[in-house]
Amino acid sequence: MVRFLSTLVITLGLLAGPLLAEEGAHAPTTPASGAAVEAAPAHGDAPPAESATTHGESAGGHGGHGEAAPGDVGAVVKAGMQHHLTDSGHLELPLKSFHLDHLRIPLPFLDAFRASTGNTTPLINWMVKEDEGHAYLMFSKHLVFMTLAFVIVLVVMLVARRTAGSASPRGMGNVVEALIVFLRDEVVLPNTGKEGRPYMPFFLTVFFFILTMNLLGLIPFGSSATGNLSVTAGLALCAFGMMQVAGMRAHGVLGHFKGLMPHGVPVFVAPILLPIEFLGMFTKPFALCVRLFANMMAGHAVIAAFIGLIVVPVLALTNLPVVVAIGMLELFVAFLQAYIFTMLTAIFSGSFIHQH
Amino acid sequence: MSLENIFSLDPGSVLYTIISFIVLLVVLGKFAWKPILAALEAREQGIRDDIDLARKNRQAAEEAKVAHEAALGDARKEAQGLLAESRERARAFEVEQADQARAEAMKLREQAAAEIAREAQSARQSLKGELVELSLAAAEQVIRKGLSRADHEAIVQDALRQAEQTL
Repeated sequence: MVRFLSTLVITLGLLAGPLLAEEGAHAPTTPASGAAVEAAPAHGDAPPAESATTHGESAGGHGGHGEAAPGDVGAVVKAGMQHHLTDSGHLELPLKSFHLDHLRIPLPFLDAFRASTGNTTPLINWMVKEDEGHAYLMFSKHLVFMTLAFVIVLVVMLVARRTAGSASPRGMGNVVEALIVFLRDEVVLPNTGKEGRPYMPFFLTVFFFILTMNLLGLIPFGSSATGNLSVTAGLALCAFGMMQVAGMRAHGVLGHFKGLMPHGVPVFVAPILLPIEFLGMFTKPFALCVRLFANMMAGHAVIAAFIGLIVVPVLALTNLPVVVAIGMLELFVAFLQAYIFTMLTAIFSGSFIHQH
Repeated sequence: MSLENIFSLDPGSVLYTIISFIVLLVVLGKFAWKPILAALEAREQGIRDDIDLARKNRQAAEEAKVAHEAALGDARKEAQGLLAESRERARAFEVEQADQARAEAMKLREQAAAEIAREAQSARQSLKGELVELSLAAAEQVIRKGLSRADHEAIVQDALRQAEQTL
């Protein structure tokens, strides 16, 4: 408990420190809106090409706000939220935390790869889509944290493997074993039937990978890769593949698609029903993608908004308990969303395995 | 990336996610999930087997107990039968022995009675001879003396006394 509280205080200090320090530094200088506008781009970690846009947007979009509240709270909050929510071309490290610029490590872009290797195949050109002066395909902050999650899951599982399932599981093995047994007996097998047994590795990987990515967003300077639509889209595509494979292995490729037309339905309904069912195949993973993304993003948005509001002195104290409460909620949501993603993938796979 | 861009899809990130996931799935599947799931399965199977075995053993023990009790009851019944039989036999033997002894005693008594009778007979016989002899001797005395009434009387008395003495 004490350790948790101290971690929390340090976390909040790290997050709020720069904002408070900046406000304190700039408070005497009367044109407060100017300070906020200065703070915004410094804090928002947009890559250079984009920072001008961000700057302009925060100044323009929240101009009205800036006049109403001293210190342009809106702009500061927005900058803070942007920092916490969006993907970034930089990786912050808490090494210079009392300044607005943390140690920022620039991350490689793939257009650099394209430039250095001269690889201009259509695929690479399509992937390295130019947008507002910078390429999309970059090894962004979210991907760094996904890779971190990858490594953590790998190491934890290889450690857990030594005692999980043994006569007397201990430590990490015990934790992992309990989760595995829960997932197998409560989540996957009841929804897929015994045919789901061979697909257990998929569901376990999905759950632990998503869970780890979610949890990484809760540590200071961390970021949850699952708050990125591209990442959840990738995961949903994997889930889509899983559903199709499960259906095809249960009924054959043709049988799988024949299953889209339920038995006992009059033939004339087919023109209406088939497109709906066919679309349903894709809406299911799409819903998975958006659900995970929106949940993670929303949680972080709420936390970031409340932390951002610390710049209003009256709210600073009242915000703390709210941020703590929402942080705990986020901890719960991190588990919940990993569970839901796994559960729904199992349900959908089960519906393809057991056609009606 | 600005806040407004969070809904845009980045093909590179999608691809990177898929590749990461598949690599993780393959590596963990081979080195973690398979062994853990197999070990869990084996342990659960072991527990199931143990429970089955215990149930079977208990059933066998109960059956054995029933058989044992039945055997015990049989043995008890048999023992009781044997006991009753031997008691019966002993009683019969006893009765037989008593009858035999009684018969023996009866026989001995009869023998003794016969003996006594015989003895009495022989005694009476010898007494009769004695009496004859005495009366003869008394008659001799009487004849020898010419006897008065008183003499007769004395002689007979004498003879009788003598007879009494000899008897």
